[in-house]
Amino acid sequence: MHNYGTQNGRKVTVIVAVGLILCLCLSAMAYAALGDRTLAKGSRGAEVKDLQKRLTQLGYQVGKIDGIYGDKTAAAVTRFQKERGLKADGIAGKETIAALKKLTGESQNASGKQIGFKNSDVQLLAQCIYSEGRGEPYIGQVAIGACVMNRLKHPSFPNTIAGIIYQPGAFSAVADGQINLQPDETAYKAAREAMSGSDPSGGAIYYFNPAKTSNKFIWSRPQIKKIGNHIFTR
Amino acid sequence: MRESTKRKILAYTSGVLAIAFAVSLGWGIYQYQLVQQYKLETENHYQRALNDLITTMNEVETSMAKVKIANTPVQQLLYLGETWKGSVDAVGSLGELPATEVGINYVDTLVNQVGDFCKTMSRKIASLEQMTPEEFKTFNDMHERIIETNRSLQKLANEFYAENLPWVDKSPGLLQKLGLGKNLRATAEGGESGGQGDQTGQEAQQQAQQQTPTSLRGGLQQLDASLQKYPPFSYQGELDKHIVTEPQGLPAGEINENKAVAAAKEFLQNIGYKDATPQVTGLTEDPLGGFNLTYKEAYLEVSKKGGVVTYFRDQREISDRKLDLDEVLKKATDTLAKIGWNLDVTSTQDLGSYVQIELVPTEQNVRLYPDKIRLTVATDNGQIVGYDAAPYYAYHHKRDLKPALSLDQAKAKLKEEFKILENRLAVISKIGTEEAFCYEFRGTAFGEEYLVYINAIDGSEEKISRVINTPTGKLIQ
Repeated sequence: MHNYGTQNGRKVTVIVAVGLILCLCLSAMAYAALGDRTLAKGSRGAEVKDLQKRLTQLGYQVGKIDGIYGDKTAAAVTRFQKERGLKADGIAGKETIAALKKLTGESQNASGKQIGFKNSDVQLLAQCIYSEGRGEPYIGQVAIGACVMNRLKHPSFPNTIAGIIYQPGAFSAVADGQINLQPDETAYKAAREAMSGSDPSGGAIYYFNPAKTSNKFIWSRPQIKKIGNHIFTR
Repeated sequence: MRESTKRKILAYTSGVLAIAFAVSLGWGIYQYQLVQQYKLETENHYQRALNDLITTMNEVETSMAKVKIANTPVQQLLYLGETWKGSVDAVGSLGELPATEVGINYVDTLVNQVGDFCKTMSRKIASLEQMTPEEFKTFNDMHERIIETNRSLQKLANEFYAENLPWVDKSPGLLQKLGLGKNLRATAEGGESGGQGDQTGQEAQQQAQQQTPTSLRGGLQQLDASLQKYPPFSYQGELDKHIVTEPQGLPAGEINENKAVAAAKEFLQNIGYKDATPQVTGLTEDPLGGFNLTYKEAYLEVSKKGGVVTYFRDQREISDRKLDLDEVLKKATDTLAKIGWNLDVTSTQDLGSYVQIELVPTEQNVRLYPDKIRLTVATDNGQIVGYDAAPYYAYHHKRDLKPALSLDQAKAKLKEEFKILENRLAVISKIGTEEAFCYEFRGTAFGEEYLVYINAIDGSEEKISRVINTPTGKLIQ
């Protein structure tokens, strides 16, 4: 009996040890943090997913966030590197990842305390600009963003960016679901420029495509200017 | 073919058809249920917004009544605050209800104005001043209008619940479109006005028909239209503060198209476009407006009055980054100096392929924040690709810049914990074209960085900004 017990105990110890080692290996793989190793085409895993998320957050499209470093991810990394003055090789090395981490990090107060991202509206405004104005010239896209920003200051509209964009009936792209498309880099840039206060629309609060609109109200508004296919009005 | 084979095929086909029919019927029912479920969720959302709107509007109306009688700053501030908060909530709920693309502008405007006015009055009362009789009259007028709006809203809600009105008018169904079936609206209206018509006479019946909404959205629009007939309040406040109707900074004299082309050409030349040939491609109808010009991928605006470039943006592709932030700033300020601008950089945002910079002019050692210029500078060659001088030309004017307060007097107004890092005189913008001449103090306290503005004339604490570090640069909140 006693002998049998010891044998059994040994077996259990071995199983537990093997299990522990397996667990450690797996968790090391799962929790490998972005920046631990250089990522390149063919890399897979949670780190790649993190990389893809951060690129998307900055407006670099990588397609599906699947944890696989494919052509699209490599192209996005290259574009990021070019815009940041890094060696544009499409390989996410130490420097590239550090720059990416810094840019997608949280804002800090004077004592270095993290206080959140502070840019949540950029995403929604970029979605609005992309769905309403892709294919328009860049200034036309900034002007669409500026219209939303002007409404924010105008008493006849809701007082938040989301309130303005999701006001039922206000934007056709919201009504037909195009608002949920992933915006491209241009739309992100236009959103940032509009949010910083630039207004190429000349103080517009409405715009329309004259070829597609017969709405009497919108035609009756005082027109300011035409940019691309849109007429911007007061 | 033999009779039995035929029968077999027939039985087989009808069996398959029966199964197909059953499957599609099931699928149809499932889809219908799904649609009903989504519809219910949407309507629940609307329902909540409607009830929130009515509750908050009630609160606004009640607290406005209390403001009128309150005679101590404590109570006045409390009810003004309640009104302000209620109006913000009401505008939020209003924005969730179904509307057309025009929205429910007049209701929004009224409620926003009430909130805005209460905010301004709170500030006044907090500095131990009283509402002037004129302001009290405006407040009273606002209250009257809120009562009317409130009554109409509640009437609409009662009607909506009692008659089970739809949220939006039904668009004609397939049968109606084909000219078959009954016209929905005609039957609804006929059935409704029958009883009323006998008592009130034909005229009133017609009016009632016009006024009886057939949906909640229709009712809201009628309410909105009914507010349109009221005259505007004497108080304008922050109404339309997004645009300056009379620019103060444009040079005198009007220019023609040729002059506009020359101005654009000179501007392009100065910022590094040799032998540019901009062409007029359109006109702009706004207070700073004039001529729109294009040159390759660049777009410019030259004002008709004064003939200055107010806006420029080159949409060219920006190639690989070559310059760091300091190099970019140096190049940009050098270029600006060449055009004759002598400005201080107040903020930068490094966005990769370009850097956004805000600059302000200084006069007699006073920073003029309202008169700012925005630049976008490419990081591939340091060229200015964006220039927005609209704020400068909208606000720049001759100002009286003599402080009544000494620096030490202003410092005495600051909180004890505040450690001053930097101080200067500055003009900051308030509502619309209103400005304040202040001492600006940059400093730290409680682990935060702040900008505190003390009015240089009357010593009041005019404005507080918090400065944070975002990944792209400092942000003033």
